[in-house]
Amino acid sequence: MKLIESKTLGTAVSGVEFTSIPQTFTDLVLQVSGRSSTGSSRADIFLTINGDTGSNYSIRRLIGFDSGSVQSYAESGTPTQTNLISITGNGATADTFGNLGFYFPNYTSTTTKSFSVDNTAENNSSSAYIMGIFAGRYTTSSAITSIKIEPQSSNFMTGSILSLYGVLKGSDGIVTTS
Amino acid sequence: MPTATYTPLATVTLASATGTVTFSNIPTSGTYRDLILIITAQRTGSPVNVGMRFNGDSGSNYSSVFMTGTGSGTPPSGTVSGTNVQLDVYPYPPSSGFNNYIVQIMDYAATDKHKSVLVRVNDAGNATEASAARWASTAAVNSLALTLSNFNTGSTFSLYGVIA
Repeated sequence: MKLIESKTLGTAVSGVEFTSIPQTFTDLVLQVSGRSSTGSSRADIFLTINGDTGSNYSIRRLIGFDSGSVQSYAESGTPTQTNLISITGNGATADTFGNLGFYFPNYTSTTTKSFSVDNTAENNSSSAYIMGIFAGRYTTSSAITSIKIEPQSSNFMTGSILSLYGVLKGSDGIVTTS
Repeated sequence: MPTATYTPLATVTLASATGTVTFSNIPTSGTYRDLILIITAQRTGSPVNVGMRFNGDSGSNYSSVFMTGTGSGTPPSGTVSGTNVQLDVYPYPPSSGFNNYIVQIMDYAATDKHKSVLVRVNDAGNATEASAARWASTAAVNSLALTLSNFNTGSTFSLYGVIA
């Protein structure tokens, strides 16, 4: 796994986009430690790939959170219609940040992209927490060249960190396959 | 998910449909602490779950606990056991498009503990699932085999070592 780019926010911004993603890796990993400026305990996150705001996204989620029992949902549509990933908001306990982990296998392929998301927004509060796992799909034949994430109607706050890594397949010359 | 460096060990992209993909001669000398297996899979034929077997052990030495988001209703959870690690319970490789599996095999070369496996499976058209599995053996993992009635052409399997 090799770091492609890491952004540590010195000022609040409405969204962060990784552009001109090298096409030389096999998979992509995006790790986020973030906090939204929303006054709520958490904010939904929009994921936009290749600047595509069309109805080309679908997602299934399993979440456990402060509002009741574990739940599962399926959504499809535009990035704002599949905004099911949450991150810690500024109404939560001070100095707490939520975590997102994205895995994009075979991001340069010409088939539909299937990806994985793990999410926590733990705030040392019994009334404001969420964790979830997500299956995502981006229906396109284009390679992924850019990834943008942005909190709904708010900014990523100072101190948020977003890091993009590339994973390259290969062989050590020892392990054999059949 | 760990962010330590992944060292590529081997990869397979299927040029034709096949029922089993095996990784052999996995180093157990202590170079790596964990193994990471990334799969993107598509099936031929009827829906079947993917199995993973270590060291050719066909005994009833595998068990898992899982939780699943199917997209509606009460999310299922439970346990499964059998003669391999069942990598998926509700999801399975689709007949068109690909799903993905992220598999972490912890401390795989240890000879004093049963092996723990964490699995994430994702198919936005079917389900998202997380599971934890155990192989009831203290043997170091030197091979692993993945089985399905048929993995279709284009399915990919990449194995990485993670240095402690």
